[in-house]
Amino acid sequence: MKASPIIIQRLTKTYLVFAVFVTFFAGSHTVSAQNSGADSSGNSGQTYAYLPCGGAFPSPTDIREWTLRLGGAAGYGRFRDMGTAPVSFGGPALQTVVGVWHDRLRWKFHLDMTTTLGYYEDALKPKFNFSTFDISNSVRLKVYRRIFAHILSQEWVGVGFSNFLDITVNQNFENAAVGISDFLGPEIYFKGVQPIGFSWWSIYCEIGLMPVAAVLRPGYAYIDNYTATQPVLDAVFSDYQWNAKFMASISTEIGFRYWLENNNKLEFAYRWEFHSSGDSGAWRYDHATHMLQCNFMFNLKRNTIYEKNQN
Amino acid sequence: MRKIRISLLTIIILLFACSCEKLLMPDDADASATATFDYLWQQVDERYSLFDVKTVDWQAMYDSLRPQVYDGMSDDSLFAVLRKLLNSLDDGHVNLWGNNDVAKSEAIFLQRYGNSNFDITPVAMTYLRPDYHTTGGMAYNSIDSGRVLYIRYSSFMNSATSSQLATILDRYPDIRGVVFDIRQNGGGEIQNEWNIMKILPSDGQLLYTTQMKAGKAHDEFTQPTAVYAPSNGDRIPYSKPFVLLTDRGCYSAASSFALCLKSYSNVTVMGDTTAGGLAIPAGGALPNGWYYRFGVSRTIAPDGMNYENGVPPDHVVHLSPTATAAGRDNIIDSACHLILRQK
Repeated sequence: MKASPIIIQRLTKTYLVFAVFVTFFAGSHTVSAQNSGADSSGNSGQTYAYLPCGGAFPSPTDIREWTLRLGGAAGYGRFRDMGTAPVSFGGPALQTVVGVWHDRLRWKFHLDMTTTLGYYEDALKPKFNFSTFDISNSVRLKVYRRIFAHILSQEWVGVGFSNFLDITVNQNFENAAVGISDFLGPEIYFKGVQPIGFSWWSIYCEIGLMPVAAVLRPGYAYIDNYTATQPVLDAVFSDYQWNAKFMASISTEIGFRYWLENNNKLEFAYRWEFHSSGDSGAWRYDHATHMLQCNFMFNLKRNTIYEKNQN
Repeated sequence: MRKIRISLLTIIILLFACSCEKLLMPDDADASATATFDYLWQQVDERYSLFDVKTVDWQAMYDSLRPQVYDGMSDDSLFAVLRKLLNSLDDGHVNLWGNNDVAKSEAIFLQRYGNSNFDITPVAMTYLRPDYHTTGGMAYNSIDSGRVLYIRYSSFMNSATSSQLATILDRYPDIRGVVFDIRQNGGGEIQNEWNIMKILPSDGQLLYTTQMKAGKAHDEFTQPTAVYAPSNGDRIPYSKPFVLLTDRGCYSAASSFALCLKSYSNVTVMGDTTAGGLAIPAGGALPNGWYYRFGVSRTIAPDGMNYENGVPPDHVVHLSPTATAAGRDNIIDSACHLILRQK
């Protein structure tokens, strides 16, 4: 297993910048939010604004909320597969977002899936035209635990498991036209939520890191048409290899969430995902997407639980 | 208000600090002429699979051609140098696509057209004749008083399924054998090979073993994978004499087909040695945007030989100009004679 010290240093530096700023605006309070009425998504603004602070009304001991998150995104994607080309390909990309979330006051359980379709061209396009279709799918199962809460802000840490599958198709590369890459491994998350004043808006940030991953890549010969005697799937994967990689992925998401009166929410987010197989030579693979998302969060069910002995 | 400003500032910083993969990715390769030459030479050096059957001294090629490359040289000049570099491999699966040109193997060209064992005129007029039939990519007619079936298959790019071939054979139940002519067939879809072989009698015999390049050293390969004759399925195989005609114009899938058919007991390969091309080529791009392909596998025959430079026939027969002038193809005639003398 190999890890690039330079990448680790850069990721660490990036993470620290992120953490410092999130902590700055999310953690500069002294009053506990245990009884603030803040909801599990951090959208406490509207609740807090209409409830007097002081315990005259019952406070929830838990909130159980099911949310269906559907959305779309447009943006820019970029990848480089050293097995076939030492140059990057980039271009427009479209994305679908699907998620099922179960949020509680102190826990979150999220299942998210994004599928991205890109049409990428090489950086030398004016000179030569390499069109590559790229379809990637990312599935994440996450569990968060709230580590800090104040009236208007929350911080969460999470662990999860994710799989990122990317298929590129470039017909110029005979017998290497299809490149498949897969990243499978655990992830850790840090999330900060900050309602904006007493409005219906909140802002959130999240960073995710894949500390170690099993990475599937074509083998040394980099070929997708091994022999016609094998079934198609065997032929496609006959030359593929799994390897372990440290710090294989990083993702950041920054978004605004608007709370509607019917408990549905609108979300506008910028999301960046980066995957890298590391190493060098033909094995090296990098993939990044920058997406502007617009998500609709449908509240499927919401229960607010109060202690029995409260007023 | 202050918090909002801080938040906005945070967002902006995060956008620039976190979301730039350029910090994490090495720069793209230098697109200069020297970098392009070095990249191509190195790719071939590390991934090309056939140095053991080629006579080229790859390091010597670098030493002689590298001084001719300099940054700022014209694309045409660079293309000419790279073409010379790749031509030294004498391999039809080695190509370079430039801005307005494609580099192909000159040796394979000369083999195909300089040593052709095929003349279409007598084939068309005497053997196929104007009333010939076409099924899939195969043209055919009975010859020699209806005792032999002649099938002309000019390219593995054209469809040839086992059911098409079965249909053809069913039309001629009384023939004593088949002459299957793939001369000047430059290859194509390897799947068509398999389709045709499915009608020939299979007992799962070994056809060849194949290995992929597995490392930078010229002799670093994966373990051999054995490839066996495809099953006939429910169909009764065609077990009468089957003569395959080859010449120096048979390349890639056509060569591979000839190699495979040598393992069938009722098949005789006749004509000239093929042009070779048994390796599977893989493509890629150069730093300057041109792209290339070259072989990354090797195929070993059951006798342990690597026939990358040509599969020899069982019976060598060369086209006779005298026969051609008389409107005959003496190779087809020899094949008919071979079929008809078998009981």
